[in-house]
Amino acid sequence: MNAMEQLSDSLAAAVQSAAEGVVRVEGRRRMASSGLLWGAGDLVVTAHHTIERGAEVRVGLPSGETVEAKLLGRDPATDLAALRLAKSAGRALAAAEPEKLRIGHLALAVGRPGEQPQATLGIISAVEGGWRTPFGGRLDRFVQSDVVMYPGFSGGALVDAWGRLVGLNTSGILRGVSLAVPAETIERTAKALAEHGRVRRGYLGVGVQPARLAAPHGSSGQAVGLLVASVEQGSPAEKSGLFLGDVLLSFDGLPLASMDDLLTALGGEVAGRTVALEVQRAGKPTRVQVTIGERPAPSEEVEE
Amino acid sequence: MKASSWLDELAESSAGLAESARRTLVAVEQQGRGVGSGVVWAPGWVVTNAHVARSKRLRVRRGDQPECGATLRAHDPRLDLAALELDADLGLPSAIGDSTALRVGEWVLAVGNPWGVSGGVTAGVVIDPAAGRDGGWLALGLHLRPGHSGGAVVNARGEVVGVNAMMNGPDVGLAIAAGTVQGFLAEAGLLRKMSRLDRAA
Repeated sequence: MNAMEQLSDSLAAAVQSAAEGVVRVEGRRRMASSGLLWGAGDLVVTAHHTIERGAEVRVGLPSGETVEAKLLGRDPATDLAALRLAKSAGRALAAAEPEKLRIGHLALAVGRPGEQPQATLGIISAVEGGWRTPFGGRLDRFVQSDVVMYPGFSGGALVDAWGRLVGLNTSGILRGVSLAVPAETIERTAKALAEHGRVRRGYLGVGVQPARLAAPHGSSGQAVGLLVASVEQGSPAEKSGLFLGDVLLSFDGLPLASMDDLLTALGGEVAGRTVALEVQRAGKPTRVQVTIGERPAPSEEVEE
Repeated sequence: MKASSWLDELAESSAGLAESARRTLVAVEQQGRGVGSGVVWAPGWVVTNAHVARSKRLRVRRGDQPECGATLRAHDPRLDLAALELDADLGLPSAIGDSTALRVGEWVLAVGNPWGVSGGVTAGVVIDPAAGRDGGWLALGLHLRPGHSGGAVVNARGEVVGVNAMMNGPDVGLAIAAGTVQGFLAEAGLLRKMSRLDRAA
């Protein structure tokens, strides 16, 4: 076999192995989309924007069988939805090691909008650290590829040349861009959706802006804090006695130097917990205990 | 094996693949409408698209050989296929592959005369080896352009597995599977005449 035949064989083998973990998701009238077997193989994760509201979802398995699925919940902020199957339908794909992913690596998009899997080939275009979506969700990594998103590929797998999962493909977060939601983000979100039917994001109820501190704070020499510019009525912030003009320095020990720091702190499983805020008030450090609320679900922003 | 030497081999075999694809190619003169492409399917026989072969008599050219007359023997606009019998034998026919054995993700290369560029190639992977309502089409992740029509799609072994037909957006090409072409030729009663095809089919 010459090198071209070896490459061709390897790509086809990668698709074949990836296809074992990729299902068809029938959740909209226009056309089916794709999904990934997850967890013990009885969960399916897919792209939220491909599931119509109130849809009765059916899932086409790699075996060819089509089964009913129960929608556990959706997270528009990360464009993910989770479904439960009556029984395990196989295994979740093995994930690629995220640290080894490099710009320029070959990548295959594997979808199953029909009975059989389909695939397109491209390369990894961009890999960056944690990233916040336009809808306020947090992806553990920003992974963009130039694979062609063939119709119905959203919710399918982006895999490496060995068929290992890089992420869940979606063109619903950035228009015209193939983003891969990384495995850690899927895992965290699928767990929350399975447990609570939604991703609970913390709610404080303040409007803030970054403000330079008069003197560096703490051992890290933090130079910037978050100036409280508004406090919503009846919010956890008001109940805890935060005031206009307070400068937030840290949240449960995590420094707050940018809006993103605060959103990240509130993005974890913090709703209902009481946490300590370090605050500079009238130039003096103080501590405020606040019981974090739950941010109401955003309206259906990415619904097509 | 060192990565660089493997890449050298890959580049060499890719160039070899393009060469074997180009050997299957004829240019089909379309009066006043530029140049389409065709595949030398059997000795003295060319397969092309119905939309490329729109007259009873046509002129074809293979590589730098002199131009040769051809007669339209079969024409199916629904399948977008046509078969031409050449006035002269233009040399070795192509190896016809089994399109039903194509796998999703495998490498393919398409040849033609895109925008009139003689023997231009484009490559990518098989998106769907059973596309279209009847499954007789190939959806391919490569860049077909006007003039590719009627040219061959070859697999990594250089076997003809399809005939270029149209683009479906800038990044997806649709081709007619070789199996569909064989069915068309059989239907038209031409397989018997292409003796070599009786063995391939």
